[in-house]
Amino acid sequence: MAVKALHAVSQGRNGVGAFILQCKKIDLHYCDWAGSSRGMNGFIKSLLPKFAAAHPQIEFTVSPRPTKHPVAIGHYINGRSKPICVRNMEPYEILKKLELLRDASGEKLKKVTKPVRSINQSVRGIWSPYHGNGMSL
Amino acid sequence: MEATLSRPAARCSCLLKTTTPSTSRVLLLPSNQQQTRQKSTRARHKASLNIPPHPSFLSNPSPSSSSQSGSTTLIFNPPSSAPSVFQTPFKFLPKTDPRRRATLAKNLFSSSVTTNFATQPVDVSSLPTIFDDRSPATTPKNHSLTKEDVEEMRRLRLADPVKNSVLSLARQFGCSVMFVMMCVQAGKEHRDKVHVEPHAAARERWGPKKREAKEERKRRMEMLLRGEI
Amino acid sequence: MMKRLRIERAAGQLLVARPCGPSTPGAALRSSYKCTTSQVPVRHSSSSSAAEAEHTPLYEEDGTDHARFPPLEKLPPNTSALPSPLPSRALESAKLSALHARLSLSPKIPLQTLARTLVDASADPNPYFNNSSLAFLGATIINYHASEWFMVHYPRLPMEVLEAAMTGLAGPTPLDRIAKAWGIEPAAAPGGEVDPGLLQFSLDQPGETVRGFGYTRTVVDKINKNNWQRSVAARVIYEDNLPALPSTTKAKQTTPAVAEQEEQQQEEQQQDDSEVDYAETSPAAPKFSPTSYGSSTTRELSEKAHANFVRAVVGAVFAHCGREAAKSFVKAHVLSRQLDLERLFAFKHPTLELAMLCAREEFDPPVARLLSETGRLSRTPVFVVGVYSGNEKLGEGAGATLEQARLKAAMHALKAWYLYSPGEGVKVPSDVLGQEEEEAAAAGGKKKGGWEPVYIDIGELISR
Repeated sequence: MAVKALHAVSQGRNGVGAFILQCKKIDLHYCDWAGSSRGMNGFIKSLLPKFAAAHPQIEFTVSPRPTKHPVAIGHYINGRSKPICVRNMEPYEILKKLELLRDASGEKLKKVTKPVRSINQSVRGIWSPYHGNGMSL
Repeated sequence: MEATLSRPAARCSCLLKTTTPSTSRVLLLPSNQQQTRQKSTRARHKASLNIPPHPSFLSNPSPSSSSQSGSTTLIFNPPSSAPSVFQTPFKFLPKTDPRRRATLAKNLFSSSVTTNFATQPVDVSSLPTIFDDRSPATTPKNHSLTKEDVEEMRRLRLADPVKNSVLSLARQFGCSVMFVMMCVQAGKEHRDKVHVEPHAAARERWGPKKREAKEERKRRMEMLLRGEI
Repeated sequence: MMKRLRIERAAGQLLVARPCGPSTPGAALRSSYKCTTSQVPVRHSSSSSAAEAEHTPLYEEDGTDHARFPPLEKLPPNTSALPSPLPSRALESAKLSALHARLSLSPKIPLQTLARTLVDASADPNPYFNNSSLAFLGATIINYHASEWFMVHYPRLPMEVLEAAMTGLAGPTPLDRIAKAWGIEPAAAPGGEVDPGLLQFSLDQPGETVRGFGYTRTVVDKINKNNWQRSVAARVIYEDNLPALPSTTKAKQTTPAVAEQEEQQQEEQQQDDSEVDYAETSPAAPKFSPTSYGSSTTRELSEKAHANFVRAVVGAVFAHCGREAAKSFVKAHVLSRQLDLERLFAFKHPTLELAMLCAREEFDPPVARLLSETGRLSRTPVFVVGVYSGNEKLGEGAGATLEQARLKAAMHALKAWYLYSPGEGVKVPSDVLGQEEEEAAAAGGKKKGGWEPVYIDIGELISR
C-alpha cells in the first residue's frame, strides 16, 4: 500500500450539533439556626422549586450544614466546581448567583482578548510570504 | 485617501509604480531630486512608514463596473496564502462535477496559467524544471527490445556487475535505466559490496555530531512524509 | 436529626424481627419500590442493607457505621447482592433524569432504558439487564451514518485512511470522549446499591465486556494461524467492523512489507499482553479506580465501557424514537465533531505515486518546476516548487531543499486528489429513505428529487 494512515481523534465543539449545559449539579447548603441563612431558607422555600423545574439538566441537592454560612456549589462537566458563599443574601440575590453558576462553563476565569476562537481552518488561509502577487511600492 | 496620496513618499511611490516594472518590491528614492536619507535614519522618517493602501482599495473603478458609477463595487483582494488541499485542481475534477463545466472554457483557451508571483500570466514551459528524469540524455530511444536483448542484458549484468553497470547497459541497449533495473537485478553480494559496505565503513568513522545530524535528517524526512513539517 | 435516627432504628428493628418476609410492616415502606426480584437473580447474603444494619454489629464489612450515618436512600432488601440496580430505581435517580434532560432526549425514552444503557456487560453479565444489545444496535447505526457520510463526501479516500477516519470519528476513543463530555461519572464499583445514574463497569472481570462487534468468521483462525497478509477490507468483512486504535489491535496482523515497524509493535504488544496477564491473573494486583488514571488496561476498559454507553444511548434512541431521530442524534453528537482529514495521510514515495496516478488517469506525466526561491546560498533557503501536469498545476510546496519542496508538492497534489469532495450539499442515502417512503405512501404523487447517484471513484492507487 502506498498510503499509510495516521490516527487522529475528532474534536468536539459544544454547541455545534448539540449543546450540553456544562453545569451538571448544584449543591445548596443551609443552616436552620443561623441568621446568615435566612435568605437561603427563603430561597429554598419559595424560588428553588421553580428554578429546579426550569432546569431539569441540573441535579439539585439541598442539605443542612449547621452553624455554617450558606453555600451554593456548582459542579461542572470538566470536573471543576465553583462554590459561592451566599451569607446574608436576599432570595433574589441568591437566584442571581444560581444563574451565574448555571451559565458558567466551569473553566477558570480568564481574560478573553480575541473576539473569535475556532479550530476551523481559516477560509482565507494563513498568510504566507511565498505566495500571492505581492504589492509593489 | 487623498491626504495619503499627497504625501511626498506616497507620491514618489506612485510615480515609481508607473515607471518601474511591477515586480520590483524595493522602494527606491531618486537621490538626485530629493533629500537623501541613509538607511540608518530611514526608519525614523514617518512619511516612509505611511504606506499607500493597496491599489484595489483606491477609488479606481474598474472598467466593468464603470457603467454603474456611484454604486458599490466588489473588492477582491485575498491575502497571499498557500493553496489548500481542499481546492481540487481542474484536472482532478471528475467528468460529472459542475465545477468542471464552470472552468472548462477558461482552461481550454489559455495556454498559460497564472502563478502566484507575477501579475502577468507566465508561460509554464519557461519555468525551470528540477530533477527531471526525462532529459534527452536519459530518455529511452529504443522502446522495442527483443527477448534476446533482455536475455543478453541479464547475462552481462550477472556476469560482471561492476563493469556492466545499470547506466552503461542502458546506454548500450538504448533503453531507460528503470527498464534495466526491471529486467535484471544484480546479486545480493554485489549490492552489499556497492551500496552497504562502503557506507558502513564511512559510518564507522562518523563522530557523535555527524551521527546525530544524520539521524535528525532521517527523522525530518519521516516527518515530512507524514505531513508534519 | 436525633429524632429521625431513632425512628429509623425502630423501623430497622421491626424489619429485623422477620427479615425479608413480605408481610412485615416494613413491606409498606418498600411498597413504592415494586421490586422486580422475580427477574433478578437474588442471592442470600448478610449484606449491608439498611434494615439489617441494626441487628448485625455496628460496623459493617465496609467499615460504615450505619447507626451514625444512615443511608440516604432506603434500598429494597438484598439490593447489594444484585449485580446492577433495579430498573424501578431509575425513576428516583436525580442524576439519571438530569442526564436525560441534558441530552435533550425525547420523553418517549423511559428512564429505565437510560438506566440500562449505563450498565456495562462487565458489571452485569445478564443480557436482559446490561446494555450489550442496545450497544450493538447503536454501533451499527453510528457506523452506518459515519461510513455513508465519508463515502459520499470523500469518495476517493483510500481504504486505510477511510478506516482511520472512521476510527477517529466513530471509534471507541471519540465515543469515550463524547461520554465524558456528557458528564458521565463512573461508579467506584458496580452493584445493586449504586445510583442508577452512574456508569457501571467492572475492572475485575474485564473478560466479560463486549470485546468487539461483528461476526467473526471461522476463516480468521486460519488466517491468524498462517500469518497471512490481510487487507483492511478483509479485516472489516471477516472480523470486526469497528476499528480500534492501533495500540489495541492485535499484533498478528503483520505484513512482510513493513516488517521492522511491526516487529517493534509486536514487542510493545507483548509487553502489553504481559501487563494484561498480570492484571487479570494475580490477585494481588492493585485495583485502580475507574477514572482516567490507572494502568493502560484499566484505561482501555474504561474507554470501552464509556464508548458502549454512547452506542447504547444511540440504540435506545433508535428503539424508542425511530430511524430519523437516531440519525439526527448521531449527526448532532458524533458527526458534528471536527476531524482534520488532511492530517491522516502518510506517504512513502509521493512522487512515484503521483506519476502512477497521472499514468492511470492518462494525464501528462508530472513535472516539478521551480516557482521561486530565496537564499539559495544562505543558511535558510526556501524553494517553492510546483508540480505540473501539462499546463495545469496540481500542487505546490515550499521547503528548505529542492527535494523537500518537490516531495511536499507531490504530497499536496496527492492529497488534493484523494480529498476530492463533491460538496457539502450532497445527499447521503439515508436522506432519501424517508422521502421514498413518503412517496410510496402518497401513491402516485408528483415525484420530487429522489436519489441522485453520487460520484463513485474507480478505487485507490495500488502500488508497491
